[in-house]
Amino acid sequence: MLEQGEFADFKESYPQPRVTQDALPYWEAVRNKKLLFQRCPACSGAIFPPRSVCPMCDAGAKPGWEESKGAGSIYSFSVVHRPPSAIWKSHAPYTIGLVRLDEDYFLFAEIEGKPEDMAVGKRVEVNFPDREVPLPTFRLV
Amino acid sequence: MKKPDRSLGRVAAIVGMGDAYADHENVKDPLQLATEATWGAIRDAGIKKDDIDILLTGRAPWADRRPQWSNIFASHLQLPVRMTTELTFHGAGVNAIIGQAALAIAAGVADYVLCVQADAVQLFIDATAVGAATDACPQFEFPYGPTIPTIYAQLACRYMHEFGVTEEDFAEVAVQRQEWAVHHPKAAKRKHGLITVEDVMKSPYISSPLRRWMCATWGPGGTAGAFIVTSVERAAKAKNPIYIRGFGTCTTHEYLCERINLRKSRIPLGPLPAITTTGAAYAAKEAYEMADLQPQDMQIAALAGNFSHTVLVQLEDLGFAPKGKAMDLVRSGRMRPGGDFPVDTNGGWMGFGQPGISVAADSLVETVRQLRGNPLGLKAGNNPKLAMAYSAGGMLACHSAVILGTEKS
Repeated sequence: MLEQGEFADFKESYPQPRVTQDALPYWEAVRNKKLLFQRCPACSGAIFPPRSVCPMCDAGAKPGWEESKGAGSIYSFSVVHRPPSAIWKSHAPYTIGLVRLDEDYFLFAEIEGKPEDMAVGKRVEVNFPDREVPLPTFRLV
Repeated sequence: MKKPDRSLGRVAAIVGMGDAYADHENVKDPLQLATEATWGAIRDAGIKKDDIDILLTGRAPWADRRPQWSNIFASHLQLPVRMTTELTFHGAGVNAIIGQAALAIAAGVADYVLCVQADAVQLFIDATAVGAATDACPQFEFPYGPTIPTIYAQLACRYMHEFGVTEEDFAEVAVQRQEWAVHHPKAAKRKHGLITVEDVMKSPYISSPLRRWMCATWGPGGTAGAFIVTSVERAAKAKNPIYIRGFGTCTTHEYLCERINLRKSRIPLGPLPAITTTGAAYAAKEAYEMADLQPQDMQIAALAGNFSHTVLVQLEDLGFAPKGKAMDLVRSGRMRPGGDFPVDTNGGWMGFGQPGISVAADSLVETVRQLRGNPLGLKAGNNPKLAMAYSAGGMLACHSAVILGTEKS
């Protein structure tokens, strides 16, 4: 796991997420192919990334967890042609974008599909591909 | 948010500036570069080393990431001082230490403040391992395999989508940066000569829509910039003072996944959620208000454009063009060599290149040199007296704007 500010040798394996305590339920759900997000009981705002107190209102409320339907649309995207390290080369070109979930929060994630098919506004759904490092991705609907 | 006292734009000046450069034939590490630049600044200011009361740097150089780097450097100079500290504000911190120095002068806790930054990424570390590993969220971004360009490209994608800007427009921005870079002896991309829009469009995608020529490169091998800041009263006796007329800063987030989920902000960022307006707008507004000047009063500018589209967004946020309309300013030719509003006269971050965190010091060095009329590269043709020096850091996160002038307000 990468410590902040440390240059781990990530060429040997895919990087593991540096899991925070706030996000433990999120990653537990990902292992069960479910997508969770938080909502504030006071302001009803959808919260992401996870935290222990709602940052969006002054209530100081503890957010609750909800399951996302995993449906959304592409807000922005970029096709990675020159990957960050050797291990990604066989995977490239791959697309990474900001996805706006229908529950009105955003995830930064891989969007599976042909690069030429990507466009802002296109509908996507969550996917949990079987990979060495379990991560939610999205794919074009 | 409390507005800074406008009188802060009338208290301090840069009275000494030094710069240093390294490459593969002439290797220097950050301590050596910072030492060379500091002694250049001390001599330029006509002071003694022991006149320095406070030493400020940005965060530690990539090429020497020891914690407490500013203190290590003070110790290296055998320079006991009142305080050393690092403004860990990404690349904006290197610019923001000028304002912090002015605050120390205004508060009366220092007669002379040394602001210095060095780095030498290419000469000492594996540059490809730098960047996304620390600037991407290690939990929700980095595991997907982004590069720094991938993260910045999200803004490029939105900028194109919202304002109808094209890849050819981005290419034109690169062409104009190169027009300045070819004249600067230290610019990393000088060796490539002038380029055309077609050249840029033929270069491969790094992370779409960004092609190689639309991205900053690493290099030159190493640089440092050092600045001696003192009071305007002391500056009156200096041979070539550059007055600090205004400064402003702000930060809005650390990671892009946090920024896009920001739904309200007391720092105006336009309607949220969106990413096409950055905190640069607020940082610049504070600087203009302190200086009692307008964007159109600026006669030269140094941006922090590491990619074509960030040049455009910064031109807008700094008030030089309406939102979404920066390409009109680019096409006007006003910012090119011979234009009446020279911008990024060392080639900018794209043409001069990024030696590391010291790239922000290089922009300040270029600004001071142009105001003094002694640039290493091409001289601005309009004899500038007022300048905007802006720096950014992180993933569109941290912003710092400094207005410098040849005359007191």
